[in-house]
Amino acid sequence: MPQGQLSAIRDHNQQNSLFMSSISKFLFLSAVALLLASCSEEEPNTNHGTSGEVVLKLDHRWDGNPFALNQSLSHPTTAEELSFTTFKYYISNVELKSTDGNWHQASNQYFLADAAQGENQLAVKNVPAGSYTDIRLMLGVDSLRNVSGAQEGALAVSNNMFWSWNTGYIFVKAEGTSSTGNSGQFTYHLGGFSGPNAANPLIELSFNGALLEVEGGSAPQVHLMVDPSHLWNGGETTASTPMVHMPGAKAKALMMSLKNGITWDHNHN
Amino acid sequence: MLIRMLRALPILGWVMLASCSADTEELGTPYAFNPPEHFPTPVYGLGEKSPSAYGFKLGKKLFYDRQLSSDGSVSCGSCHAQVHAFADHNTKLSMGVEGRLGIRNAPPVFNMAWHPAFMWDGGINHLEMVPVAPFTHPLEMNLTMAQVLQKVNQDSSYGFLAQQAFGTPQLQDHHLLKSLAQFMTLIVSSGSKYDMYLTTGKGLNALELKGLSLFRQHCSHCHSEPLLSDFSYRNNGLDSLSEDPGRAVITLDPADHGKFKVPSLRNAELTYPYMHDGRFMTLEQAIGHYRFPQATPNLDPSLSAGIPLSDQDIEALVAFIKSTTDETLISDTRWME
Repeated sequence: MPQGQLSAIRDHNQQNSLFMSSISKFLFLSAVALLLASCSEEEPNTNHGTSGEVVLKLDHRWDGNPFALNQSLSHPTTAEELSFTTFKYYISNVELKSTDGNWHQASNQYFLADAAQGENQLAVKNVPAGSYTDIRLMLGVDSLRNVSGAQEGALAVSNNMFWSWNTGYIFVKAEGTSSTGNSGQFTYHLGGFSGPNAANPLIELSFNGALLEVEGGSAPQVHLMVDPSHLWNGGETTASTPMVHMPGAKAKALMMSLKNGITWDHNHN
Repeated sequence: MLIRMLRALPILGWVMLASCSADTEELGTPYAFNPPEHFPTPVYGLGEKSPSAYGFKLGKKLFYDRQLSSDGSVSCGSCHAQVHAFADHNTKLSMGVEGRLGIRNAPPVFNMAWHPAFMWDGGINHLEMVPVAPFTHPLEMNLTMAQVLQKVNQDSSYGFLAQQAFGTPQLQDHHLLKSLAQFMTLIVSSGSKYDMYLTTGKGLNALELKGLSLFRQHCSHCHSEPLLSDFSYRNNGLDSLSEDPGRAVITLDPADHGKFKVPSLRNAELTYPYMHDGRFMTLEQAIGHYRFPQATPNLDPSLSAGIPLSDQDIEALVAFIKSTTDETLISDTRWME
């Protein structure tokens, strides 16, 4: 089967946002909603005053400057002229290191960051009160969620960050145009959760001596910078690698380069 | 308008009754998943997601819904037809939307709970993820999952089942995938003469028994009993250089070039043509191939000398394979369109 056909399988992402509704359906749904509300159980309160919430803010940068989609960019090392139309990626498995040296896993969370959104922030919940010195997170999605069938929320397959023909999440989707290369485009769908080409690195970042203070009721912030120019800091260019559409050595190499583009910037207590 | 509202009243009544009860998933016996005792432990355990009549019926409705394709022309059931043991209608390749031909022969959908991976190349690792491939493939149903979801949620005829199965009229994609998995899980084929023989020691005639004996001698180390597949990937020497990389599409390993998942031979009488590309129309041709497989670097070692089979042996093997035809599978009204 030619690779071209496989590519066609993967890139069929037309969204259709027609909403039809009839009044009777609306009434029916309203009634159902009321009924559901009337007997729903109280959400358990997981904040017992000994844990708090940390807001993880992701700011996109290009070589130190603000990054946006559809913006003309010059790559600092390869000098390629680029523009992004898509930059989306999963962040998961957030952990914080307390001053006693122990890592505390946040309740299981998966976050789909999207440069098309104005703000990308993730509420890391159930963090025990205390002082923290480091953060660790996964760029991508852990193996377990790649092999456990249908998932919800950020991991819903309708988010189009999923390979239907080769089960697994697309950890990073970076697409755009390039001045070099035959096609004038780059299309990176990067992932891979198992074996030698696993491409979901854990990233550990120190607060460089600053302490993140977590107490019940407050929501301190951790600001991270995410710089997609790092995709091409590991030897790849859009000319040499215009397209990656599956797990493999190329996907891994690009992911390992991008990993270095995620840095800690500052905290707000 | 008023009439429509009145019509909805009985449904609302149902919702009222069901919505506050602890267990909305009434589990009728016909919809319980009871693995046959002579089968191994299934890979896909419904576990906490135990099947419900409503989940199954929702899955069935999705399976047969032609609206869930870009031009409204094909459903899952179009290419996975009960009369053919849920394989396609004896075509080499299947026709998707706008008459587009697919790239491999459609595999049958039964005993899916025992498969560790799916498709000819094993690219799909979980039963719940199987429907995503045909829904989104441009040569098959050609939609995004978001479009599938939208079509379902705009179709009020899904509301009742959705409410009953998942407690919400607005489904999410994991609901669709889980109910389709419930539907597929319950399609178990274990009612053939061969199964009767396995459980009682009776039911096969002399020719079929001769075939079974030959099968155990020459075939069952890949087509393992009782499911008649070990679900491994093997190159069976169809071509000296396979046009389709098969398993290597997934693993990128040249040693997997031209390897395909060993198909179950159950109900093979109904699922012709055979092989990943449907090249053989008859069982005689398919079995006869193993006398002289093509030499190729990845050829399965067990086939390097071919399998010495006489015409009489093939006749017996065909008789045995036909003894795995499960009449209850193709007549059971639970999964009938």
